[in-house]
Amino acid sequence: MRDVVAEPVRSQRRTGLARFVRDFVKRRNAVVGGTVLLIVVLVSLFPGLVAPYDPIRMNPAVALQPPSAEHLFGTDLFGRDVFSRVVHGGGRSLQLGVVAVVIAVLLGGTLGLAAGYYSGRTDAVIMRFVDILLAFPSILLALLVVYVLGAGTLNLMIAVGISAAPGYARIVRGSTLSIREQAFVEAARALGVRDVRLILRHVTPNILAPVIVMATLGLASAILVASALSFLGFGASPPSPEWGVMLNEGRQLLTRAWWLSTFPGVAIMVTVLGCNLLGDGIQDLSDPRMYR
Amino acid sequence: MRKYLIGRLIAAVPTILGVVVIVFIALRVLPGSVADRLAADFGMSAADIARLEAQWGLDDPIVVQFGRFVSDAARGDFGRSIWSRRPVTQQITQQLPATIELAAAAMAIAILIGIPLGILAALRRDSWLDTASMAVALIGVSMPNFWLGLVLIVVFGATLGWLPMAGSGGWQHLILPAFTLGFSLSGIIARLVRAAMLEALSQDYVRTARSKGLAERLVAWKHALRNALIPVVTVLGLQIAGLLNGAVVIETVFSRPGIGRMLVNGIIDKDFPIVQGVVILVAGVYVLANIVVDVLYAAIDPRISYA
Repeated sequence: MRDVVAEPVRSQRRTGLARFVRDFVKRRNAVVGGTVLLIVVLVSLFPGLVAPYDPIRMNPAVALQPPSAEHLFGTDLFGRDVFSRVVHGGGRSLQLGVVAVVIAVLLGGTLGLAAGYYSGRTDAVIMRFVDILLAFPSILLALLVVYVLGAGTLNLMIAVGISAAPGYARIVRGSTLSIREQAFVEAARALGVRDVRLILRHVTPNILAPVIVMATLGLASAILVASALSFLGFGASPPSPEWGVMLNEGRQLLTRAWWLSTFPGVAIMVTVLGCNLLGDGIQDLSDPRMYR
Repeated sequence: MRKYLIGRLIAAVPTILGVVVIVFIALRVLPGSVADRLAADFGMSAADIARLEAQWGLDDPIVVQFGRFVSDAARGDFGRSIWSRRPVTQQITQQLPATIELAAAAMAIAILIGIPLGILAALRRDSWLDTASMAVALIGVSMPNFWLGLVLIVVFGATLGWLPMAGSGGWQHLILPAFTLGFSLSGIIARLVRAAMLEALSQDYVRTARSKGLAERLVAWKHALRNALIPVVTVLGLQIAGLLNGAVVIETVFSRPGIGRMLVNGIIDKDFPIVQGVVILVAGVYVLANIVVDVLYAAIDPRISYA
């Protein structure tokens, strides 16, 4: 009996996934964005396969050389190969963005779930707090956190994560409010399922879609904010290759060596473009009007 | 309308008070606050720090400090910079006009580029013009603005020598930073105007206007655009935060005076009165800006009434 009931659900799920993949492939922006991002991720995961030189080893003999066949993106003041540094910097910059988004989703998601699920006074208190955080422009909030925690890669991720969290809290609360009224949640509650389990097993899976869309687009802005803060000198410390830090280093020699700041900037732009295209594509796909 | 406005202003008070509390906790209460950081970063001795804490009133009980902080802040007094010893409020009033000038010029550039680009893309949907406008818009959104600033400095400042590379002064000094800050916003506006125009163009009232025999130009401008602009105003209001965010970075890139650069320098120098003054002021401006935007709706959309 059980199998008979389970079977149509499973096949429905499979067709749902198949349809998602089919529609995804049809959306050019999602495919282009996904491919760009995949390449950036692969290169960042295996920089040694692509980068011809050590990103940190100095070689003053070839300092400040413009782009050439030997050094595709030129060399910096210490004779380090800029191409190799851009390739190695990808991992760190992506990590900054991804960890910041994870922190934002966990923090904002927890607040939003608690507010939406418990509603009433809990909701009022949490959302008032979220409203206050939303009154800070994001870089301002991130800078305030950096001031408290100090500069550095981990603190930067926490700062960007905290500054993005209120947005996730809002969207998660909205979705939770509608899910908690559904019959299956009431049924689970009537069966005596405890709140934490109910939230994790029944509510959370049903609010993931909008969060995933927001997180993909959020990754783009997290990378931009994190690189801006690194650029201002609040992120990783030199000589570690990170795109924002490289841009800051290049800024000092802007008129003498344009390539130092140009290529890390292009790398940030391409990665953010990939996130935005993929995010737009997934957003379109998650729009129920598409399936009318 | 007046009743609505007063109501909104009253409702904003707890939010602004919340901002003050958060800034106070962040800068004074959390571990690693003022004195510890000065000790770590500037190698001050314990005796020096104790003397400074007494001088700044940081050795009073936290409740006393908070009461003093709020009553001073309410009177617009954010203390003195710990380095220059000048009143923070005076420094902010000196720097603020430059930031407002930059933000206003950037907003104007963003509107001048973004709205025509979005309209054009919507009216010529799926043409090369649409693809090209949206590509420009997407690049605008994805480009780090501080990098665009550096590129513009190299091209128009260093190479061509048409515009000054940094600093402030006449309108020439404003062009590059304002364009840098406005370009990414123009991308957001263009994408939004396109979507809103397409939505409006598919509405029944547009079909009615067309079936009446109105010229397409009139349909687009008088019927579709006016309705499409409503969501754009919302986003423009929200983007005030984006402009303030951008100003923090762009003022540093172009070595322009302004409260953004003042904040960055305040954080680097651990000058907490400067940090708290600027953060509270900017958050307050942002909250008020959102109220102004809500009031503007009524002016644009006669269906919305706050009376």
